[in-house]
Amino acid sequence: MDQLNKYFKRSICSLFIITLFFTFFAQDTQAFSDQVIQRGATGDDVIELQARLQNYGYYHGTIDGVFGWNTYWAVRNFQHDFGLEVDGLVGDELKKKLEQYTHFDREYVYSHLEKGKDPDTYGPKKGPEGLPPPGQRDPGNLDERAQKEKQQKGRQREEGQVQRQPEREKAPAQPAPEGGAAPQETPQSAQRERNIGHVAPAVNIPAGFSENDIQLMANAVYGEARGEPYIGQVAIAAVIINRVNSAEFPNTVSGVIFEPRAFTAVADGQIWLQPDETSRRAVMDAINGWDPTGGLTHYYNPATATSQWMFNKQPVKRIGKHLFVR
Amino acid sequence: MLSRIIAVAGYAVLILALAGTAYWGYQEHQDKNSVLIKAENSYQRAFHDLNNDMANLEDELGKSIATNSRKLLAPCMANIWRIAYDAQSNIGQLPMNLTPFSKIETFLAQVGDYTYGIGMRNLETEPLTEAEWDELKKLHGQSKELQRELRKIQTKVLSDGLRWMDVEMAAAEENADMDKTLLDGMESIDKQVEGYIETEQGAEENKITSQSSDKTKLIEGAPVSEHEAAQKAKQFMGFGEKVKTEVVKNGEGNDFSSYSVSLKAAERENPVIVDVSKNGGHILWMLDSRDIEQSKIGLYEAQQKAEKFLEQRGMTSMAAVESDQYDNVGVFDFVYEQDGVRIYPEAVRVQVALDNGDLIGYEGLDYVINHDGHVDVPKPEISLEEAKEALNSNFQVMEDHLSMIETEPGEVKLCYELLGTIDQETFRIFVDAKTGTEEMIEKMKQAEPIV
Repeated sequence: MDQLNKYFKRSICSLFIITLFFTFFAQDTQAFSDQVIQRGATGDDVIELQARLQNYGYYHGTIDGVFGWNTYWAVRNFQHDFGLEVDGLVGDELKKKLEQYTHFDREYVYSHLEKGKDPDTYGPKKGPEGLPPPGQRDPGNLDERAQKEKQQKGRQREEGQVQRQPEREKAPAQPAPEGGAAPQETPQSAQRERNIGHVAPAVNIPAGFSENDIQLMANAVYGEARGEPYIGQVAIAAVIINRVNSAEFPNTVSGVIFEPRAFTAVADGQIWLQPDETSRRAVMDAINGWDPTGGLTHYYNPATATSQWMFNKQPVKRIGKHLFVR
Repeated sequence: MLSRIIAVAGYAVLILALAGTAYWGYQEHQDKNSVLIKAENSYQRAFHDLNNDMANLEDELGKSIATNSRKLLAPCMANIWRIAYDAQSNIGQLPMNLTPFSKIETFLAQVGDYTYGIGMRNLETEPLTEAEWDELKKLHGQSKELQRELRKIQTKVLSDGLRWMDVEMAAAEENADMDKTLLDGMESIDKQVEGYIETEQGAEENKITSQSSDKTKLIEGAPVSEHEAAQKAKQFMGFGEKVKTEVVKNGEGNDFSSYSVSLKAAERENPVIVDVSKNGGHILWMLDSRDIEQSKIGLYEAQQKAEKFLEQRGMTSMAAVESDQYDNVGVFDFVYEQDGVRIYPEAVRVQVALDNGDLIGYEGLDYVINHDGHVDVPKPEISLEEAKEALNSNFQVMEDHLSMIETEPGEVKLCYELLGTIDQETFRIFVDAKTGTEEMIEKMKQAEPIV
């Protein structure tokens, strides 16, 4: 009885260790969340996706955590080569394939992301060496695959997990990647070489604007309309954009904002106050196309306005203290 | 007695004189301040405009290497010439004793001259040569790097609140401790450009989705009352009768008059604002400015929620054409799709909060104006293969659609929408499905690195 008990304890103990190991292991390799990843997304899933695609030679851009066009084409090429539906969506099946065939050195990538301005190569250094170009690959020959199988064997033995078994058996029968849609080799490979493997964080910015435009507009909105209702702040930002698009005003955000006598906050220096999150969000909404003014380019505060000609304009909308006029 | 009066008068005069001087001094100070702010503003403007020019220059040079159409190349060349010229003039407005930008000016002048020469010649009889294409491509690469460097300085200027006037004044006083960030940054850029010039010599935003249409165009439908507008807004948001409702009438007596409906639930801090057109009672836009928590759902799930939202409001057959995540918000573009053809003028844009998947923004003006249930879509007269043949041989088509786009105000054309790449850049080219000419070219945006 004692013996049995001891044996039982030991097995519990080893089971515990195995579970612990598996938990750790699972975190390491199955880091993708359950979410389907699509173009425009940002965050950790995208970083892993880009790193894995780069590791297998499909992605040559910067690992920046933003699912942009280059990532999109890389996903589609990968889907094409592996006989999956080519839709640019990263779902379970694609994630499994990526986990099976590619390697993701989380620590390495993240340490470089934190440094930010120290671009270094990821793919070529950490990726399998002596690979044929994408399109002529036989997944069976890869070091990773061997590695992966070893890991899987370990896991099956310890966990009795069969979940991954079918995947593994299916693997050899997979259509070998075909040529054609693989990332194109360019004559300017020198230039591309420089782009390989940059790890640097980035953000989505609406087309036609830069992060600095947004910053400058947030300054202007804060200077002009802090304390106003949210919609009123969006409206000020929209007026700036409407002016940029209007033939009567300068064609740039900075041109419109710094036009002499255009905004009181610029004339008295209040534009240089530190804007808050609300004004920034208002600017983003306006840039993304929300325009409470319906295309207007003028507004004034009836309580403080001094220019006579403003009063002759046709009032359209009042938001908070400001009267928006045509 | 007299001496006393004299003394008092003397004091009075003295005090008056003092007050006068103080006032005069204050005025002078104010004037000086105001002049300083004005000077600073014009420097800031020139500098930020220069940054814009460099971004546009890069964009246009990018387009020029992607297009194969003479119709689009000539305006492209003219644009580059114009932007290069404008950038030079902006450099000219910066305090020159501080900005060693002479090399950049030379580079810009060369870019301008080069593209002017190409733009002015008859591209029908004398198309772009291989060598010229290579040169444009090189210029594009260089302008891209230049833009990146300048943008870094711009970010520094904005984040650290650097003032040109401070730098200038410090320089005038020969202050050794002055902030060298601006100068050092610019000097290094200028050095970089030096390299370009030796090897040398041998934007406008095309928006095809919303914001393109005439916002004053008449919205059709019978006028609705304030009460009806409020009901429509509540219905759209799926709110019950309990929300606190306020309606404001905008633009009395105008064609574009609308109601702003403010809906505030008891437990909410901020109201949801819904603008409803007076004619027809259409929902023009909606914004909910509530705080958004940490993201819990992904962009894909959010898009499906948005699709469902639209479907429930009778907007079926909407195709998602664009999606972007900004922090905890997903922004999606949907266009009406008829028999697999994307009808771009009938677009809506929605915002979904990624914490719980609720819609927090809707913009449907273009849809309200342009959608009437049926579009006359002509049959394409050329095949997809024929459309591709017309393109630049360096352009690799990766994805294609059939789309109706507004090429000029009021003129909608059936086009092949071709997405593809040249090197690491993605472009979208619209080719007329009738004539095979390139109607529009767009360089797709890329993520902006965090500096």
